[in-house]
Amino acid sequence: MISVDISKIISRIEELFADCADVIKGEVSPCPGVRLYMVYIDNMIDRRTIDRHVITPVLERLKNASVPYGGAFDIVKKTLSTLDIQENDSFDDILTFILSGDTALFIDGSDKGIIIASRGFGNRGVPDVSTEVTVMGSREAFSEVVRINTALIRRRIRDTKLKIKQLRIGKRSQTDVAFMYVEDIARTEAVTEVERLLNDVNADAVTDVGVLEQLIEKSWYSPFPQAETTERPDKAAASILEGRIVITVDNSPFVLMLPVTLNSLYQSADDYFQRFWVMSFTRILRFAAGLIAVALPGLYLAAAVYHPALLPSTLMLKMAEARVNVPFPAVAEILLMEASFELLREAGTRMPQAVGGTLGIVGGLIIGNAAVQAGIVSPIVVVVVALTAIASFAIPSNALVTGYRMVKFMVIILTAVFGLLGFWAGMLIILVHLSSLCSLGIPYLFPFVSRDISECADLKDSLVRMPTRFLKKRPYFAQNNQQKRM
Amino acid sequence: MFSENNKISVRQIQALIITYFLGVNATILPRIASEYVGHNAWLAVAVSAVLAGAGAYLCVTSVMLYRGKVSLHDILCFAFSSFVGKIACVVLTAYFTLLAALKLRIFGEIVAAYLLPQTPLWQVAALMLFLAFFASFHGVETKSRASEILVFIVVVPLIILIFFGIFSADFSNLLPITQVSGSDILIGGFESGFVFTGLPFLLVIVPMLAVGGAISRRRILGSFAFLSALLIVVTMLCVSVLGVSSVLNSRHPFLELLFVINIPGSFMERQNALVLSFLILTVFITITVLTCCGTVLLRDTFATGKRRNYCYILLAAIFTVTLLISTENQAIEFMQTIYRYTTPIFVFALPVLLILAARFKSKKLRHEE
Repeated sequence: MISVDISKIISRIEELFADCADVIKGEVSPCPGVRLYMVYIDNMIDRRTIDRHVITPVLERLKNASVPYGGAFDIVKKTLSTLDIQENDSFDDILTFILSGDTALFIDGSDKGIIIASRGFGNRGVPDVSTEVTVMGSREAFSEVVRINTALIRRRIRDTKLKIKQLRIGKRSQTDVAFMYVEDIARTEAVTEVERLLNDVNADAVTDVGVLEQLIEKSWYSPFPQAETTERPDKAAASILEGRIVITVDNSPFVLMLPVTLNSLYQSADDYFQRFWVMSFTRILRFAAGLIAVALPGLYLAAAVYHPALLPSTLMLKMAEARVNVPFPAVAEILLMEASFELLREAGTRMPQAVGGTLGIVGGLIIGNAAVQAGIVSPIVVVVVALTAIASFAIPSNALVTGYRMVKFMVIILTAVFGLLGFWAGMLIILVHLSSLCSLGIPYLFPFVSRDISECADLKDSLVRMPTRFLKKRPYFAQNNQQKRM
Repeated sequence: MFSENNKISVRQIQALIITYFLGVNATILPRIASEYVGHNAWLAVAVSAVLAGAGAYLCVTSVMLYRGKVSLHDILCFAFSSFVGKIACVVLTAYFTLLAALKLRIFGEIVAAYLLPQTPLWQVAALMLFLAFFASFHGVETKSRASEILVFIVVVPLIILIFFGIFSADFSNLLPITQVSGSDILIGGFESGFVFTGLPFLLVIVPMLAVGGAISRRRILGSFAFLSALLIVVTMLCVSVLGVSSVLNSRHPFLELLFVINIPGSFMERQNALVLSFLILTVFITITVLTCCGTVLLRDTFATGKRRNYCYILLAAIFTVTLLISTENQAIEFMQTIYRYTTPIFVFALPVLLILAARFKSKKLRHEE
């Protein structure tokens, strides 16, 4: 509740915002008997909006006016020359608006406050794509501002059925979160589930989509991502048109897309911009890369240590020859090289972009070469680890690659203990785990499993990408009566 | 869309059938069949396939009659009585547990012979049981989804190997066809049905079908026909490539066959590891299916506690029995005994009784539906 006595409001605001240098508070009395009190946060508002549409017209209108006590509220409200205002009688709500970058105006004698939408803090505008660069397609990327992100989607889907629901998450951070979907395409149960998951978030602060993803995912223990992230509005818009739900979080230039499947994590934005032959070949390559990224070190270990007879004699002899002077067992070699590569990757991420490349060359070429010459590792192990690393870079989803990197170590260790049996044990654990995952009820391995629910239609855009003219159906994410694209 | 992890599709059942029956028993099948009908082993396998097909038809049909029931336990309790139903479930659980243990023992011996001669058998068994537990822990639907992927990994390389096996075959080894008597073929066919031990798992799995009906039944039986054709071809190839005397002297003629097939231009010098990879995957499915069926039956029978707790009990039992058996031959003999005296009861007698009960209680069944 808001007191009608503005002095009480002023003292409460002063008390709450004590030692907050960025909060601007000011009282004006444009005519006798009228007291106005305005609060906003410096640099979070657009000053010009306040000056032009609030202060100037109000002062002009009330100058020398004779207004009875409590009668100023309606006059002020009608005088404001901006449409985006609202009355609010909850003091807590008004505080949240102030902290979000809006301006609050209190008038003596009224038990309500006026919220003026004046958010205008500095932002990057619409930046260029940086992590999902494609040869063709849009260069626009999402920004850190929720409203810019929703506008980027709205520009691409000019349909009244595109719904954007907004809520605040985080007890202290009060972060703006919006989720977007097309009302008659997205499955109702999926929308309800997303809304429930977001409302159930119980956290102090949500600072990024990554944090939100972890808070709403079901299998929190899994190394694999349970929501797809993108910085590309064109990709997000396309996924909305497929029946998926996109979540954007204030202060994050990435959005979440739900539901997610392993198949969708292998798809890239430019898959649909190029000819189907090229993209089908690329898709197969990516899936093979995924397999190499997980299995190659384990497979090498199984062949080198337990079952050398599996390989042709000449290759087996070459491998044995290369390992003659290496002081470590093969598993230690592999683990040493993999750990070194992970170190390089981590260091490269932290380094400035220009130095990152140099670090890669120094680490990959010079240290690798020196390690081989010093006899610490065999050349074939360097080849195996390098191939594994290159394969991991061919997968479009960084989150998926991270998952693969983790499980790869499990496969290596199991293979080191049980040979080929251990290798398959590792692969089976991964397969069973992936089979157990679901995203909003859709199996993670769909459409490779449970494909009869969509009569195999989703397979047309999976391991291979069929020509665009044959992709007449939406994926299974869409409602049953909206399966056909119009 | 929002599944409860307890329903499976027809395609998943098809995948389970194919991968389950291509397990350890299939590696011994040509030898068992040859023991009775010599070089006409494939005829015995064909007869066993017909018998198993009839059994599968009865199993699927009988449980599909009880459309409103979602588990075998419910069906048995409804058809007979609660007491008989529970007893039958416990007996079936014991059957699945024993089978899992015996198959695990045979697998352990194969691994020791071809892959890990230095590794103690208990470690191999423990690893396999851990995998089975991991899959069973996640529920029937998860296991079935995994089998949908595994069926391709198993069957496609196998068909390629068989194709190349044709070039090494001497088909005169299969001649003459009519040297054995009909009774020998029938006895051989019955004994070769050993490969289909565990068929009653259909009684447990089919009630979990998301969509039942005649089409589903036809598709399930279709996968059986495919599997039977594959086993007949494998048996023919074993005899024609290795010769009947080698088949009779070999412990695992199916594996021996795959070892000797030459793949031109292959990167691999010997495909032992590849062949055993196939075996590892099929045994994983076999043990998982049996564990899962046993767990489901136990949980339904006692109707208390979590499924995973029953899983612990079953795994401990399987592990103990696996280690109690002393040799592979003992395991095979024990499994043959189980096959001869129990499988026909579960595959023929029980389904017939269920069909009769459904007829008698058709009114009540319709009412409950």
